[in-house]
Amino acid sequence: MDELKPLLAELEHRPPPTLARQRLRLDEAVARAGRAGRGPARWFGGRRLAVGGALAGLAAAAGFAVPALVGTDTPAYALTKNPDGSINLQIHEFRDPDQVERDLAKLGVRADITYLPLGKRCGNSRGRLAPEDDVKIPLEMLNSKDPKVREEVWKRLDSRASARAVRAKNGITIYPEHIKPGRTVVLEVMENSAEPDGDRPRVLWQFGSRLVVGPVAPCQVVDDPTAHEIGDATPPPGS
Amino acid sequence: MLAGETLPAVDDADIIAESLEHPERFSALFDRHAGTIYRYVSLRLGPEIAEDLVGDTFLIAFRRRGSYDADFRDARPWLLGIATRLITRHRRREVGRYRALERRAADAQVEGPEETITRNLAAASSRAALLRALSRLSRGDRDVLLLVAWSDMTYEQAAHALGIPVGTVKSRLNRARRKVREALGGINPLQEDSDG
Repeated sequence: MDELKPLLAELEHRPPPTLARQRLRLDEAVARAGRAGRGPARWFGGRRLAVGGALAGLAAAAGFAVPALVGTDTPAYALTKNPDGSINLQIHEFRDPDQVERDLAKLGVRADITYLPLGKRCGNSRGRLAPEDDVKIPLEMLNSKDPKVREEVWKRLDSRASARAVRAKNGITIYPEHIKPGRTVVLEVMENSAEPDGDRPRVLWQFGSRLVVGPVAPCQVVDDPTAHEIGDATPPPGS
Repeated sequence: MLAGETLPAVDDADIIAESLEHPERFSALFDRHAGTIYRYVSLRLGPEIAEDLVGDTFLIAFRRRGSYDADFRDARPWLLGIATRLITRHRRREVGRYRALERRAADAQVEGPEETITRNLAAASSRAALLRALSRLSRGDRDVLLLVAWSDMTYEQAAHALGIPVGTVKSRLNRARRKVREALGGINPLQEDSDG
């Protein structure tokens, strides 16, 4: 097959510098996983850890009746104001995001919430990012392998106002003191297809948040191929 | 363990294992292999959507890292297998790309000394023949041929990258090789018959 190599090599393209954007995409997913997995206040309920919530969420998404195990009058979500001023949101079912928005508005937080089923994501930018939420990370920093630089990249990602304002803590916890006037919290909550990691619980949902100034565009739902099962691509033992 | 110059190089399986406890370590895998995955995807689908597919490949890999077999020290076959599955969703685009490039190769104008012209024409017709052969291969045959011929995977690696038996890899590869050789041999008189 060696005679094919040069011919095939003519068909390939060089990786462009903009490939770093994909690194940022991965970094954001990694950051979400890291935040969800840290500490005792894990938000993402595992199959074994939060069976009730999991069944309720999956049943709602699939459109069948909620099993009696969970109870038919389970509220879709619970919103609590904490003594420190933060607001805790626990989502039990993917329905009625408008009501969550109205209840959050009563607590002084303007939010735009989208629930997305497995395999979908918002393909548009939704609005103008607030300056305090816009983080500048040069490409060379993103590409750096230096642990100190990597640490700095993390610091900058975590320094975004939305990272401080919306945290994966006991569900989702919103800290209004980090939200400037005129900002809308844009929250996209996605059903997740992640496989169980050994003994670690399966991540059922994940979310992305950002702070937007001015009008928020409706979510343009697009396919997210990364969410689907792709069969077993696991390498063989002993090869 | 901290990676240092005096310590043995950390391999892919180590990175993946560490990333179970420290997800941020997984990004090192991107730094190592994103370029390779990009070149592979761009070969098959062109540069327009290759970037997104590279991102998708690593997101899927990240989510599936818990089921990675640590005996497999090099993660490239795993990553290329994931990328291949994503590529198969764009079969029309892939075949269209080969056909368009084939037309371009067939129309290539060459200038210069006679010897150069002959050589360039031969190269252009080889390219056109390969592209035609690629566009006509079945999806499964093409996956195996490209993984093995382009990335130097072993049969076993290709089998597990694609989730098929080794015997299937061998039979698909033989069939694909035969077709490509016929195409190349039939159109390029300068090409000597290889012994393979």
